[in-house]
Amino acid sequence: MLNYDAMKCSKMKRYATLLVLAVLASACSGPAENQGSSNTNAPPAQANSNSSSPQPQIAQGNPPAVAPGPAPPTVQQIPPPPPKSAAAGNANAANATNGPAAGNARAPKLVAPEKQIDFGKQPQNKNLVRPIVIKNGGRADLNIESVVPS
Amino acid sequence: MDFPKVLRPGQAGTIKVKVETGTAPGVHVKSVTIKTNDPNDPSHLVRFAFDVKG
Repeated sequence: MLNYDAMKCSKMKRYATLLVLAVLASACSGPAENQGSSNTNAPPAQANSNSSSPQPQIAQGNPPAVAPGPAPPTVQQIPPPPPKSAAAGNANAANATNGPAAGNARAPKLVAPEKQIDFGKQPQNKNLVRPIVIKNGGRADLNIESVVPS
Repeated sequence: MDFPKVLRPGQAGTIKVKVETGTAPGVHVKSVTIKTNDPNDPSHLVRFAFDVKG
């Protein structure tokens, strides 16, 4: 009996120590987890206290860290600009295409059908004279700056 | 070389080119560059080829 009681006492002590250790471990691990993800654990507690305001509180608690929260809006705002810029780019491209087109439409255009003229066989010391016909196919004055032999 | 300074839209003109064959026999190629304010063809090249008899 005495031995049995002693065994019980020793078992009880062991259980007690194990319980204490488990409590300590849980207590230590709990805070550590809470510290690691304090926001995740803390909010639920607050959520339990105020079921309707937990998310706002989370949002309030996160603002500093939720800078990303505002960031998403900025990110979302950033995407719109690209489309705008892209649209603007397209518009600019369209304008650019229209611009040059308009510029070409208004610009002068040299039309010279002859790019190579063959005189054939010619004697020595002969002066060949050949008129080259050119035309302005544009919608602006064609200024002939120079005609340079080379 | 004689050439018009300005051509109105739709107007045509002529450029008179004079080439001297010289004394060296054989095929010769010479060219004339027409510089205008055409944005697409600011320097238009026209070649002249002739074969001088020896």
